[in-house]
Amino acid sequence: MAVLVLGLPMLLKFGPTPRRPFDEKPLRLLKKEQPRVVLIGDSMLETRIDQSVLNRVSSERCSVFAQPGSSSALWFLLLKNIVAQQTPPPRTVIILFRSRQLTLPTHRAEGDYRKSMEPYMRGDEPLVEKLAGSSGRKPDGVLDAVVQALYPVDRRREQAQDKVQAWSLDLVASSREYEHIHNHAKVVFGPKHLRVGTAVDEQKEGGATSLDPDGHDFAAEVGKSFLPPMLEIAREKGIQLVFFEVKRRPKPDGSAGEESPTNGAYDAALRAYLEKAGARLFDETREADVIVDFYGSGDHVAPAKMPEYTELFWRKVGPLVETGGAR
Amino acid sequence: MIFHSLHFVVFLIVVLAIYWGSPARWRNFLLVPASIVFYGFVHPWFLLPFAATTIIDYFVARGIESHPDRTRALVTVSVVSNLGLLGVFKYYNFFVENAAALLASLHIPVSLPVLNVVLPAGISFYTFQSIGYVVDVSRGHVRACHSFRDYALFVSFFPQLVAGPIQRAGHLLTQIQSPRTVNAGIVGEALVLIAWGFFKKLVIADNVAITANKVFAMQDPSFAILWTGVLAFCIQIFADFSAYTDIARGTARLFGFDLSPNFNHPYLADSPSDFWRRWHISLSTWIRDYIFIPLGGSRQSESRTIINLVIVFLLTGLWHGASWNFVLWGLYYAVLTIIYRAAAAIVPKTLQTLPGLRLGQIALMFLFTNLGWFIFREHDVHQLWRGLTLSPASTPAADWRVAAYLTTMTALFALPIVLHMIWDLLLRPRLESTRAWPRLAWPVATLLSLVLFVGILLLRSDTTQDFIYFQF
Repeated sequence: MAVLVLGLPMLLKFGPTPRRPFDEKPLRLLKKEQPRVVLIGDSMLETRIDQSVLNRVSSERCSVFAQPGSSSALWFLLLKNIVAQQTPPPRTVIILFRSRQLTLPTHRAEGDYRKSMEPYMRGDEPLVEKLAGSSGRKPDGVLDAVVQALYPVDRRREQAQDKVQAWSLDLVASSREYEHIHNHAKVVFGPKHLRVGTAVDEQKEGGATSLDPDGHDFAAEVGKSFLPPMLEIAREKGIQLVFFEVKRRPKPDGSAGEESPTNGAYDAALRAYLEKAGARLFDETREADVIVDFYGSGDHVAPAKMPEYTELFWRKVGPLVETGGAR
Repeated sequence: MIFHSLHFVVFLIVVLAIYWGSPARWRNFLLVPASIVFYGFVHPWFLLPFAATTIIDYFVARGIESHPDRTRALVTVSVVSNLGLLGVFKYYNFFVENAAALLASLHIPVSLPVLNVVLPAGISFYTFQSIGYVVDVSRGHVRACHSFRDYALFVSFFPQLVAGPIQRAGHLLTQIQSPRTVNAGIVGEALVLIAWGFFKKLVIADNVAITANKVFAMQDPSFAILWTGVLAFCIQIFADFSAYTDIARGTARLFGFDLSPNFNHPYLADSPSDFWRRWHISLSTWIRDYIFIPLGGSRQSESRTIINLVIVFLLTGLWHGASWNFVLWGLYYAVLTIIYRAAAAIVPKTLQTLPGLRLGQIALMFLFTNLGWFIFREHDVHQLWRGLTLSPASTPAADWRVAAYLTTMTALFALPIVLHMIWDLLLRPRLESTRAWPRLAWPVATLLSLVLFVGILLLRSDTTQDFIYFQF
């Protein structure tokens, strides 16, 4: 009996899981907004920058592309397939990042993270597969690996789960309302609404994908990251790239929380590399005016502090954007 | 070791092969070290408090048998040692933190040391099982076990060691002391129980947990979103805990044991006392038999019954964890039970038996159960108060749509539980109403297990979590 139960499902054969289609909406949005400045980032961006405040204080047309739970692989795809496709392209792209996200191509490139990258992929994206190694969904532990190897039907898991979601939507809304419900769900459960000390989008981080900069060799890893192709795209399209390293939640006394001395060495190497390639780096990690009072959950800025933070942000980044000067 | 790990799959296959390949007289001897490996696999030191309980209660029971005149003192030794272990590992930090807070509020600042250790898994389950054995021996319900091996197996039997069901000596120990057999019918029943257990855990509990965890991570959910999360948790905790029970019972069946059940469709309860006859049955009957009835139960004055109810429900709450929300949860059920008792005394019997009323009672009790789960799940007292005082009118229209979507998804994942319930109630003979599945012919059992297994492969959640009751 056990042999039948465990053996028969092995015979169910399926081909590779189809990928989610390319999403044209961001392209249309940028075409409509015609921004001069585009900001890209994860929840650090979403919880920091208030687009309406930014438009006001910068006197520029700005677009904010915040994708909670994203990292350099998705930012590369956004830059290549969305931002750089605009005519004319924006003058400046500002990428907000934490710690060593820029040189950790596998960070947030698997599982659900991979799913959220697929709408920005055009075709096979061999560079993403090569650098992020995310052509398939990596197993979560040995048992998962064994199950994946023995049971091809397991590859249909994501589609089956998508169907449950689709049926749930069908039962409560018309197809025209799907997007509205999805978008509102993203807002409702977004990082701005998390309790202090909670960061749902960071739950999967750890182990090989840790952002801890200790022992990280910038020179050895930058060549295997998305930084060189991003810089190349920016150079080809005449886009000024500004990288903004956000300050992670400081300790109550104001001293740096997550940063370690090694990060200083990393930042120095990163700065030298970027400036050599014509890009800019703003390091917020040691800015004394970004105090713990700004923060809500984890490294996120509290919603009530976003307008104030946005103004502070532009006071620091604005001169870089306008003059192209270094800091 | 956890059930949903490769270690356990390999462990189970190896132990089963050796077990059934060995002469019958060696089988108990084999299961004791197997259970020790299972329990001490991640934290070997967990075995120390466990060994203390086992050794003390084995000798206490033997002592009661040989010195009946010292029964009271010996039972006290057992209760104090077991509750002492629970007190140290589970309640010490809660006590000192609250004591320090209380003293600080009286302007007496003190710094009390806290214990930085992991709570040994299953300590609340095996200490209660062991106390129950000693009390049963003292009451003459069972004879003291003379074989230390058999007693050690009774306490340590790995399928139910970490999260129950809490077994009575009269049920499990007698099976340990008897020969056991296995046949196609038993294996079929075991496979269905195990497959259904894993389905409930990996497909239902872990999927609806995504909604529950997200909602309970929010600082300001609206009414609609909050109660969507509570409903998701309501499904999660039942699917999760009953899954553990089913896997434990199925695994035990493979070794020829029949563990007592723990659930009987708790969300069909029509009153709080009915709920506790259906939910975590092994704990509620334990508390009834060893605390409530010795206190006088409900056969004394009304005021004494109320006091007894408050005591047992507070203890039930505290059993789950050292946190104020569990105390509140226990108190909530005490108050609810008292109100229901008062209502039953006032409402005329003819009204209580009106056709269709039971459906309304079940629906009302389901709402009360959800309110209880909110108190159970929410550890932050401020958030608890905020949630209880939220008005539905304050929910933005768009939130209602999201809540409807998430509730529907939760309902879809919960559908197999509803189908099981309907099938169970329609097909199962009344006498077997607490068995998880009706007895099935082996081809039907195989087919059902196969369908459940393919369901697991297709629908299991990406994020697997520990069983909720591991923390207790």
